[in-house]
Amino acid sequence: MPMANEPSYDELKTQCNDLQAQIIHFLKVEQDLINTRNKLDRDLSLFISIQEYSQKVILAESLDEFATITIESVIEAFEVECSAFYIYNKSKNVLEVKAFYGTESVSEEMWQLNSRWIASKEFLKTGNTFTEIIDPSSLPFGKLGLASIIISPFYDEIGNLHGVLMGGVSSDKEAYYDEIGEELIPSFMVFTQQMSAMFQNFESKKYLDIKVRERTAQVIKQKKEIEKKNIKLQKQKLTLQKTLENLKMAQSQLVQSEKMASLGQLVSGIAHEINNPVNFINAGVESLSANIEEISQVLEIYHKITEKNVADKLKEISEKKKEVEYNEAIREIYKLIESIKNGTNRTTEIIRGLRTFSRLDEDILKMADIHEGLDSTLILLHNKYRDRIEIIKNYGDIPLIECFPGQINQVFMNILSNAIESIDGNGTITVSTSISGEFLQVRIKDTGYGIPQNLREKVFDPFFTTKEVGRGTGLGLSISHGIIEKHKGSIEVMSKVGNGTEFIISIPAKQTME
Amino acid sequence: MLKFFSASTRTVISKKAIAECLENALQGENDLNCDLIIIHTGMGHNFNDLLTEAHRLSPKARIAGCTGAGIIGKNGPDESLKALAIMAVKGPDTEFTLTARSTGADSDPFTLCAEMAEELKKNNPGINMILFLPSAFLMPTDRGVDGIKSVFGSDIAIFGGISMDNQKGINCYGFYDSQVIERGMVMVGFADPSLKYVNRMNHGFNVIEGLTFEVTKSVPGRIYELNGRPAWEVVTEALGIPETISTVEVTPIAGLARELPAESWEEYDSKYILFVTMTKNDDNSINVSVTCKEGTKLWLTKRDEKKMFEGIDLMVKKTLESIDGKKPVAVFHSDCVLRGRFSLNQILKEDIISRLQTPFFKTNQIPWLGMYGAGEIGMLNGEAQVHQITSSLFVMYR
Repeated sequence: MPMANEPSYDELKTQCNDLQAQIIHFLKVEQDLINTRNKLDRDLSLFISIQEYSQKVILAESLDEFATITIESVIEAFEVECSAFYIYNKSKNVLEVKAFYGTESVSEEMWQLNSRWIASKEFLKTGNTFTEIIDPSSLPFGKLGLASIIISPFYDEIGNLHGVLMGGVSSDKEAYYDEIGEELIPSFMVFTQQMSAMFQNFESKKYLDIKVRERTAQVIKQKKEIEKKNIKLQKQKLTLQKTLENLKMAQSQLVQSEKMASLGQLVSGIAHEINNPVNFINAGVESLSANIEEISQVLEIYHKITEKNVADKLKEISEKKKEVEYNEAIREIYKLIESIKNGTNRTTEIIRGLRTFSRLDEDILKMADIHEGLDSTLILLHNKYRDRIEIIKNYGDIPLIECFPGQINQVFMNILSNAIESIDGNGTITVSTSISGEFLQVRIKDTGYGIPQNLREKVFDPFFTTKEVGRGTGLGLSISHGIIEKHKGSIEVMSKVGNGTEFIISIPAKQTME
Repeated sequence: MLKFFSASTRTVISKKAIAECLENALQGENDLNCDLIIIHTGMGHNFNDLLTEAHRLSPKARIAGCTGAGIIGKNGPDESLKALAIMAVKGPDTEFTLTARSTGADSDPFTLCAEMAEELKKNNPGINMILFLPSAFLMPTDRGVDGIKSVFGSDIAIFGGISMDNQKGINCYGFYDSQVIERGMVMVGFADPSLKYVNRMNHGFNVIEGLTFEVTKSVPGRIYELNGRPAWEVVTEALGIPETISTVEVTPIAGLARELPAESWEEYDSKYILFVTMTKNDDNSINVSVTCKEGTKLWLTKRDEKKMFEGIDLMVKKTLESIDGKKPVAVFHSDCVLRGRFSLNQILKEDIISRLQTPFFKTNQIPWLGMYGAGEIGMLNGEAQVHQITSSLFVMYR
């Protein structure tokens, strides 16, 4: 018997049934929730798929790749069996399939959506992306096996039909796929809109790619042209180098010519200079010979003196002395010896000067006596100025100077020659040397014509000369300028017409080698 | 000695998909040649394309496989219609053999499977494990298992899953070399003596106490009556739903349980083994994959998510303990379609698979091929049985 307040068997059974009913109810509710959750999962999965699609398709490099990625994504995202991606060909008024996947029995040609079909579909002319489920039998290939189709046209920025995206299920597999129903339309449209945006992006990218490719091709072409030009320039450079070498050689030859010219001008002078003392010597030697002959006659009588004939022979000697003017002959002999000595000294001096000057060819940096160089140059030029030009030497107390002596002498030769030639008749050339700081200064001032101002700037130009043709190369001062520059020095000219010209040469006492 | 490789993909173009699978599976190998390719795929693929391309890429490979409601690869589950997973096997043909049959409505599972088993044994008497991929339409599957046992002995290791479609209950396909066999049944016999196995499964369901039925009239694979009334009528009435509802809709909430022998409780982590109504007949009898003898007591069941997760963790722990530090060389995974998207959301489903896989992948990626099917075939208490609503791992190791 049940206790008081305890439920009866029937009451317990009712409670048990109620609880079971609740459990069953919860089971069903739970399953409903699972179904709802699955739908949400699917929606979420769809949006994830759209996102994944965007990430994939943005990397597409060709229309084929874009189309293939698109149809694969449609199949995956919407769980449809087949898909096709069309591009509208305006000139042919057909939708050309760029990628498709699905039923095996349909050839690519059959997938073309022809102009008749396009004309029959008013919705293609709206200019707005939207989605529609259409009857497959209305498609040219519909009867060949498609059971249901969802289609979405897309448009360009100004609303012209750009293409069509399609998803479908074949009759063969229709049973396994969820029906393509109205609920798919919003998400398919979202996908198509996203695809359309990506496609516009792709086409812009393609346009840019084309531009980049064009530009790249242009750059490559330009590069090739530049390379060609470079080769040409290289050849020209080689030619120029050769020309330069030739010019250097020519210059060297010209410099040599200048030296030869300078020497050539000197030769006559030097010959004359040497000729005078040599004439002295020759004449002296003849006179000396005659005098010695006369004295020899006196000496011969001396040799014949014996103990027996002393008086006679002394008389004979006295007569002979009178005859040959013995005392005069002795005086003449001393004079002649002195004259020959002078002639020999003069010749020696000229030869030494020439030897000093001949150091023109020396191209060795060495410590040199600048005064010796100036003096030897003046000796070589002596015949050009003697008797008419006074040379005033204001030589300072200067040390040995580090230079290329032969070249420096050539400078002195050029400037002194010009100075001498600038003085018509009598005049003065003042040669001064001094040391100023670390620089040697050599000033050569003449009292010649002077140089007009308009020509003063040109005196160092190559081939500039005021001399008549054949008398100068026009290279003397140009070469001199080069030589002084080589010595890291300077050469200045100061001149006033009628008052003469002064050249001021400065070179460092010591050369710093680079 | 057999060597296993696996891969899966969501790629939708069939030829591309199988090529991708072979390339990924055999990455690091000299070429795509292998000796056996086991394929599981969703219903959306072009099956002929899959087989043709597989043969083109690996001309000497034998092919076995079937459709399922989804696949489980190294990267987790995929229940899309274009899901594809493969296990590529390299090794001498003396260590595996395969056979397949098409099945008709009147096929007798025992006879058919015994015949297939005989063929396998004839090809290779050394077979010690059989991958069994029966069709969901051949019922009851347990009779097929019995047929195999009748040839190889009751302790032969049989594992696999029941082939199906995506829970539409329309059709399923088996793959055998270049043949796509409608409602086909495929067996792969392994004869690598170096291979050992551990096989465990778990469902994590509770029975609803008080809602019990007694089988009062039945034949193998078909229950005519429960509690003396038409079976479907009784089940739908208990659930408070109309009889006219389709079995597909009812199945997720109408799992039925039988009590197991006490010696299996600990291994199974449950006193009950589950089965579901596969289809119903006009007389309101129901078709099931197992044999329910008259007098058998049945319970309605309810999923317990906490118990499901705990059960899986325990199953994996016990499996790894059994392997005892040895190296798993391949895992064949069968999961019930009712543990997929029809019952669980994506997060829970992925969580379950992750809990199954992660402990195995701690050190290395182990070749892994799984399928969501209509039932799982696996070893319990030393004998192969048909299970439903479980996750089943058949782990091969050396």
